[in-house]
Amino acid sequence: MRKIAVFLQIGTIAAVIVIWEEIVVKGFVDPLFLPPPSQVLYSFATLPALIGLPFYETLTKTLLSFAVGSGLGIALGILIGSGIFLHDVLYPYIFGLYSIPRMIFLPLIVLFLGIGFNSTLFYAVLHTVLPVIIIVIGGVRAVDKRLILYAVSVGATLTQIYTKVIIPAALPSIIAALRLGIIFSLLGVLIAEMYLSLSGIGFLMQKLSFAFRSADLFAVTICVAVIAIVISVLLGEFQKKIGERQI
Amino acid sequence: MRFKFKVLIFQFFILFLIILVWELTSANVSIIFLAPPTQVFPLLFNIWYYADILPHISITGFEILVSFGLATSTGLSVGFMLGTWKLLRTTYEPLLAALYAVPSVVWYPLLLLFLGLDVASKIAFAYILSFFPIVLSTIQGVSQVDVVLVKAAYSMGASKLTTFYKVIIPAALPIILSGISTGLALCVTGVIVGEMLGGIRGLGVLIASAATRFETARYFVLTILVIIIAFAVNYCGKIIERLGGRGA
Amino acid sequence: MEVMSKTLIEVRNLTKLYNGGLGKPITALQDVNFSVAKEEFFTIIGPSGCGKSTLLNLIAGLDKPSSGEVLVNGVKINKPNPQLMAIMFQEHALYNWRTVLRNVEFGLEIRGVSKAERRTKALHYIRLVGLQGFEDKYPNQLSGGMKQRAALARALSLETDILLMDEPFGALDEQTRLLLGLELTRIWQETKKTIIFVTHSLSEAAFLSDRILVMSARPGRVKRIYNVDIRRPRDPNSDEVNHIKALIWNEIKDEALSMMKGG
Repeated sequence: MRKIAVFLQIGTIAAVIVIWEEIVVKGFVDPLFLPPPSQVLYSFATLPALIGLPFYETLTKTLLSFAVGSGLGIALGILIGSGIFLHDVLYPYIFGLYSIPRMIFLPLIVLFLGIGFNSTLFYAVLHTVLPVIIIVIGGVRAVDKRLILYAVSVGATLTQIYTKVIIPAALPSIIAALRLGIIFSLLGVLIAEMYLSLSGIGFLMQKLSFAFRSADLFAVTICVAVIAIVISVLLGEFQKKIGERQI
Repeated sequence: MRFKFKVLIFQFFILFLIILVWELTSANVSIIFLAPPTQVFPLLFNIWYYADILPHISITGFEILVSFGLATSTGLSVGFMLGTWKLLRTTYEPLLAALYAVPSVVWYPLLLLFLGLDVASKIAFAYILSFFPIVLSTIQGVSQVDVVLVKAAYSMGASKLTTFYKVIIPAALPIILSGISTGLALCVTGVIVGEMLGGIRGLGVLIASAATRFETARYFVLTILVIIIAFAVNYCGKIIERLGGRGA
Repeated sequence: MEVMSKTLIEVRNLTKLYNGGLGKPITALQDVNFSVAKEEFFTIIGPSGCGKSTLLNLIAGLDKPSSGEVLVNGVKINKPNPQLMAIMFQEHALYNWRTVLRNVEFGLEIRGVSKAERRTKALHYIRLVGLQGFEDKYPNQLSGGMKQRAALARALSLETDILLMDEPFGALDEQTRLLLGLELTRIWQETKKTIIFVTHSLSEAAFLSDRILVMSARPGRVKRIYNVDIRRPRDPNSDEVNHIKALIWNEIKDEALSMMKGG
């Protein structure tokens, strides 16, 4: 079953490429919009030169906003998730902020921080911190109360309850939050780059799109998508490993 | 009861604090950076102010509705197909999950290239965002229906089709509906993000242009409008989720 | 018998009210009075929802009474005292990110016992409950009965005079439950602890206890206290045990029924 599935997966991808090549070559669509796969493949050769610097910029911003956003998100999530009153007061705000398109705040951020590195970073942090907080709050609140009660019964201090019970018990959701956080950081950085039109992969893609350099755009898009998938799969495996002895 | 009251008071206090900080900050910076709430709120309740905004609201609403309709119909049909047919599921679920992990905005420049700056690219982008949670939750819901429920139906003489309609769909409904609700919320995000990143019509376009022209009062009015729309749509999502309620 | 009758734990006029949401307090416990002698096996039984667990939490100092008090050796309990009492919860409450060994060590770790000493102690109690060979397993790799043994070892490792057990074997099947009950009796006799044991199982109560307190449905009150004068080792199917079971059942039946009708 699994073997057949893998075979079909490869077959599907191959079929998509073949059909794609055929419809362009047979003239069903304008190669200006949809370049044939052969031409995209050719673009891959020049890709390193094209995305070298923007890639480095986007990577830096993504990692920075991920570090700040997820660190802040985990700390706040643990704090808010473990306080009943704090949670009840703040959760509607956090969830409200999470459930509206956050991009509407980007112009405001730009007004205050200017066009550039700072506003991109601030926006990406905002983009990362909210889902991380929400997942961590969920994990902390799901900690079995008796685990905490037992620690209290053997005389654990508040710090010990956090470090020895709440945080390890919520670890699977903290890791799930990190996994989501890195994708959200990348998403935030790309959105900001596209909006600000200044630097990075996002700007490059926008530029390629407006310049109708479709083969290059395809190559960059595929490249970024594959990187995101690889990150997600790797973190997913890590998450599974941690989760194995838990649940 | 007293606890809830205290929570409510603190929540209002936070809201008040935000508006206060907003007002005080705007008093100390130029109007082109931050319009004060005392200027924004009157505009918000001034009907005439919406004369030129209304067509854009309807465009944005149209994009949301169309993309959501497309995402729901295709998401459900693909989801049911993959959910009930095991070989198809083991083949395509991993591919769909992998694509779902890609930051959605990556696809947007391509969509702009294919479909141009007008509504079509926004609908397509929102569709992509919305399709994945719907299809993935439908697959999950359908494939995780308790085997005992299905066996019980067969044992009572139900046909495959009857079992699908009377057992599998109702049993999977809560998960499917929560996927649809997520998809609906993402349609709003997709449309607004799409419009702000480049477009001709719609609320997102207005927000971006108001900001670049430093019309901050207008920016805030539009932003609050988007927040209201997002909350209203999320409320609809909650209602949809409740359709599968189990008395809980 | 003189030694046995020395009072260790005294519960006086204990009442506990809870906020019932709409400003109407719910009385979980009302005016509960009893005392437990040193080295006694004391069981509390009652219909579910009668406040047994609340009572145990109050004795443990994990919760504060609305009125009344709990005295141990004449000293009032108002917070957990891990030197004096160890508690074991329903469905084990083990830390699933720690191995069996590190779970058993947990209380000693909190107490600040050195690594070598807590390891020795933990290993000793793991052996006592018959879990040797499973020290490095995680809770998820153990069966239900083994998890409860681990939880028991964890409670014993604190070497307290008093052991509070809240339906510790409640989630187990009948055979495992009996077997663990037998072992608990042996360990109790070996370690000379005072045990307060909460259960809803008639067999368990009749088989294990020196005395049985039957609680009424909400609000929880002391309905009656039975002496179980059956010599040990006991046979779980003997007429004497069955007689006690029948007595408690008659006492508890109406309470359970009224509980079911009242929701």
